[in-house]
Order: sequence, then C-alpha cells, then structure tokens
Amino acid sequence: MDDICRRKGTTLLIHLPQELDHPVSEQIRLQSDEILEEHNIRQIDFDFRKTTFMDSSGIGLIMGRFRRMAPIGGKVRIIHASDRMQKILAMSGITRVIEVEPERGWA
Amino acid sequence: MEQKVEQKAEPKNKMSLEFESRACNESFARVSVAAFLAQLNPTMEEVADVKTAVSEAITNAIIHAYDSQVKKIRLDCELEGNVIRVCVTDYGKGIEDVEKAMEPMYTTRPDLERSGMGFSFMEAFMDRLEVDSTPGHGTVVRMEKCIGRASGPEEDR
Repeated sequence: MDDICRRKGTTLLIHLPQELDHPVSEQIRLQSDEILEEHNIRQIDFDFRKTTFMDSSGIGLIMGRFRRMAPIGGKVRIIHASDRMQKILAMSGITRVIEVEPERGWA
Repeated sequence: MEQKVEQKAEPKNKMSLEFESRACNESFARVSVAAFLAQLNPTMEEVADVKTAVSEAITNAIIHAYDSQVKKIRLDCELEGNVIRVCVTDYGKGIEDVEKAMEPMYTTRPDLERSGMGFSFMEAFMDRLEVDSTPGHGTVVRMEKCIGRASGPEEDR
C-alpha cells in the first residue's frame, strides 16, 4: 500500500493496485489527502496499468480528487487503462471531465 | 419473492455464505461468487460483470446498511440453466425511498466520496435487479444474469 502514492514534483502519481474497490479507495483517499495537504500538487495521474477490477468506489475516488483539484486549477488524468477499465470509466460519465490517455497499444 | 422459472425443470444449484460486514471481506465474497459461477463456463468479461455487481451490493451493505459497524451479510447464489441469481441480504437500517436510492448519482454519503452509482453499476452489469427494503429491518438485493448470451464480440471462453 505504501507504494501506491508517489509524488514527482507537483504531480501526484497514484499507481492503482489490481483491484480498485471500496477498502482500497478509502486507503488511497486518505493517503492522497495527506500528500495534497502537505505539498503543492497541480496534477494527479491515476495509473491503471495493474488494475483489472474496478467498481463505483473507484469512480468516487477519482471524482473526489477532481473536486479537490478543479478549484485550484489542477488537473486529473487517467493513464494506462485497459479496455475494460476504459469502458467502466466511460459508463460512469467521468470521462466527460477527466482526461483518459489512450493506452495499452500492446493489449 | 422467489423467482420461479416454470419451464422444463432445470436443476438448481445453490450456495449460501454468511460473513461479517468488513470491507476486507469484499474481495473474498466476489471471488466466491466467481468460483461458483465458473460452472457455467462464463467469459472473463461475464465473471468481471458479476463480480462488479456483487461488489456494489456488498459495499452498500457495509457502508449504508450498517454504517460500517460489524454485522452479518448473507450472500445466496443460485445457478439454474445458464442463469446466475445473486441475493445480498443485510439486516441493517434499510432504505426509506428505494426509488430515490436507485437514482444515478444519488448518495447519502458524499462525505465518503461515494459516487452514487452503485445501483447503476448493478443494473448495467446484470440483466435484472430488484431491491426490497424495510426501514429498520434490512434490505434484500436480488440480481440475475444470463451467461452465454453474446451481446458483443465473441470472447474466449
């Protein structure tokens, strides 16, 4: 769990684990909140490369980060999401406000 | 409200699980349903769909029904022909207005960053969803999915 949130300058990189569900989303929310409180973060990248499972808790997590970043002009991005993950993200409507990098050319 | 399929008598295969409403049990519950479902030879996509719907129902029981207290959740699964039925039962606070609760984006817990999409996801990933609730007594979420109905490109089985 310690390896999930990593700060690189003003970007917070969140390496999501294989399953993004309610307990995992809670932990990431707390960890990322701590970092956002202590550092100047202008961008949050959700890296989905390891993620094969996601439920609506993940949507809540991402939207929550977006709501924190938007008022300060920050950005939230989703990267390395598989086809299934992209389908779920699109289904939720979150892709209307959050950038999803087209990815996984090799998948 | 048993859904009796009165066609040629297909044998029913059932399993029941009762576990504590701890978030750490969510993964186990998903996997147990997936393992039971394996008998129907589902695609990976179908397994993922059912797991996601189950995850939503169980999360609701943990967060909403019990306000994260540790109580019991009951998971009943039934296989009949190529159909899986999943029933998630809690004995918690219940839902005052089920219709409102099922509205996309509606949540009573924005403080927990809930998206309000739990029921929408259940509806999207399963073929049927029924919610019965008695405030003060509990809630029963019934879901059903037909396995093997190719609605998209063929997947590897």
